[in-house]
Amino acid sequence: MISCPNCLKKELVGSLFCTECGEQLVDDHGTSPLSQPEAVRSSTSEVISATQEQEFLFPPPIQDAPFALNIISSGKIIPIRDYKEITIGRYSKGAPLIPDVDLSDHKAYESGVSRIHASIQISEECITVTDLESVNGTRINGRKITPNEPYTVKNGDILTLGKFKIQILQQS
Amino acid sequence: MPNWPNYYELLDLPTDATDEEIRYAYREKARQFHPDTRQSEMETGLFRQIQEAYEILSDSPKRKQYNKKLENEIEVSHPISMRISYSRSKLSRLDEPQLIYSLLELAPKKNADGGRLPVNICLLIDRSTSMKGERMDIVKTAAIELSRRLQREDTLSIIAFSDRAEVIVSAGKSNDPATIVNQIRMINADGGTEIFRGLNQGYREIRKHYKKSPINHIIILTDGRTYGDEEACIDLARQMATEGVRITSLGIGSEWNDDFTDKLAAVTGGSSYYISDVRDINNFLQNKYLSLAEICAEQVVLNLNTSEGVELKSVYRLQPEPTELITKSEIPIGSIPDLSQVDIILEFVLSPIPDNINRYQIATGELHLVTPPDINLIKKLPIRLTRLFGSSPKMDKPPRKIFQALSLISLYRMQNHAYKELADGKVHEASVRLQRIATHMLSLGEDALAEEILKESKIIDQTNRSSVEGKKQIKFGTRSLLLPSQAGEVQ
Repeated sequence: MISCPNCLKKELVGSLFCTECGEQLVDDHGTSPLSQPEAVRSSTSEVISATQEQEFLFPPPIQDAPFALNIISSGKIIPIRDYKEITIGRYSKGAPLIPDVDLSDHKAYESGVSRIHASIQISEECITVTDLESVNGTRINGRKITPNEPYTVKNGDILTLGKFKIQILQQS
Repeated sequence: MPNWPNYYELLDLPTDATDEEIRYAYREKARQFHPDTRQSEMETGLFRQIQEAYEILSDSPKRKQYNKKLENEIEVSHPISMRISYSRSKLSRLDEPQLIYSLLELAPKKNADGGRLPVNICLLIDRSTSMKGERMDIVKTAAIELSRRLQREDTLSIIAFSDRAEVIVSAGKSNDPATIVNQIRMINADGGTEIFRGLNQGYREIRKHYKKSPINHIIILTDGRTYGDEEACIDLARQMATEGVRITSLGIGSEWNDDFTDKLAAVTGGSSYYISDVRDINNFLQNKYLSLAEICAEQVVLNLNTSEGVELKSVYRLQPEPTELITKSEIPIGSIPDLSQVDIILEFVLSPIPDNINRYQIATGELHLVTPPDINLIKKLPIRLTRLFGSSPKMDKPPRKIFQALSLISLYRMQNHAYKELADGKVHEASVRLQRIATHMLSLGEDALAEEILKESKIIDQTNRSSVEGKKQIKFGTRSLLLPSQAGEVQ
């Protein structure tokens, strides 16, 4: 059986869509996420990718905002001002919700970013990241986080949405 | 080169057989028919053919050349072209059941013109009390226009039914247009709705001329529920299907039983429709009449024998008329239009498969059809659905067309599910499910339908029941999306 990434309903191998929530179970670009033998293997690859991502990436300094996101693939820095909470994802035509930070110009779809993938809560004390039940999950410095639970992040941390990498930048 | 059987059939191989399979099949057959073990002349000849087949198929360039030649031959000898594709290129070895979808594309052949065939059409008009007034007037006008459009060689019969049935126009008798118009005008609305009476009478009228042409069609116009005779109707429709008679059902207003008319039409390979605005009836009827004759094949039936351990779970026709068809071993699928193709999606559930099998035969069978001008000849095209096993449990990318079709079929099923939940008293679940469908509809760009669904979800939340029009609008609206040309871009 495979399980739906959205509602965890078990479906037969070979299913293309979840009968419960309508979520697509096979990426129309190829790879199927979740047949069980695959899941076993992905736990090994998780370890490998975790070690690879431990490489430290020097966070560039920022000035004009207390907080910013560094899009690693392009080096573009998105400053965030006046927000207590932002959602990250990709805009898709007709979707009811639009994320505050839209990554669709950065090949987000190809990298497995969900439409509403994660949110970041910003306060004076700390910054936390919450995965919003995204299809491909969110990692902090290579470690997968549990959906719907806030995780604290700090300056220089690498956030991976699917395969899409973003660095957290904080004004020191 | 022998025309029949071809080399693949000779070695009992599918056309996409691997080199290893070809080697194996050759060795098996060669052993079986070797001159040392068999004496008869004929079998010696067969042995030579088997060797010849292996020589060609085991040589890649020669095989390619042969395939091309074979395709051309099929192209010439078959009345239509058939293409089969699958949701997965390979099956997985698993100790649990798995799913595979198969898409059958039946396309008319260019230049295949058998000329126009006569149409034998019967109109069943519901004249129960609820039809009184505008509805009846519009239906009458539509029937009159249809009678005027009819070609000389066509046959029209009209039955009006309530709790009894009356032949208004008898098949082939009253050809005088003025008489027909007068008879239609005299229909009065009165009584309850018992479809069986009308259907049975219509069947008798259709049978009078059904040898003249393979196009025999009953169109039911109703606005009411039929009481107690559903089973009898379905049985009769099944009988009609075996004789090549097809049913189209047209529901007017919102009181009729859509699940029943869906089934009634589907067992014959026809479709049911929802007309929310009575003024659309005339257009619908005239278009339907025209499309009945514009065909390159009629009475198309898919005969499928699934292998042991395989279940045919569902069959959908995507085009020309999106419909959930029946899953019997003989599936009526209607006609193949002159200008557009027919797409059928088959869903199979496969039980765990023994380890020693490399190629799995999902189903075999034949497609039966009648093509003009030989209207008394049933042509048969062999069908064989097989797949190889792959070692990787990873699924490959499904063909775009199958993927898109399934995305919409899944929404159609979800709305069925929601209404079933509602009927079972799971009000909240039904409402939440409709909201989910609405979200998917929005992402497909189907904003109007999404809005309709959200509205319905709210009504269900507030009143614990669905609105009468809402259910039909959502069901038929979702189903109409299955038509590939209309399908939105699935991302």
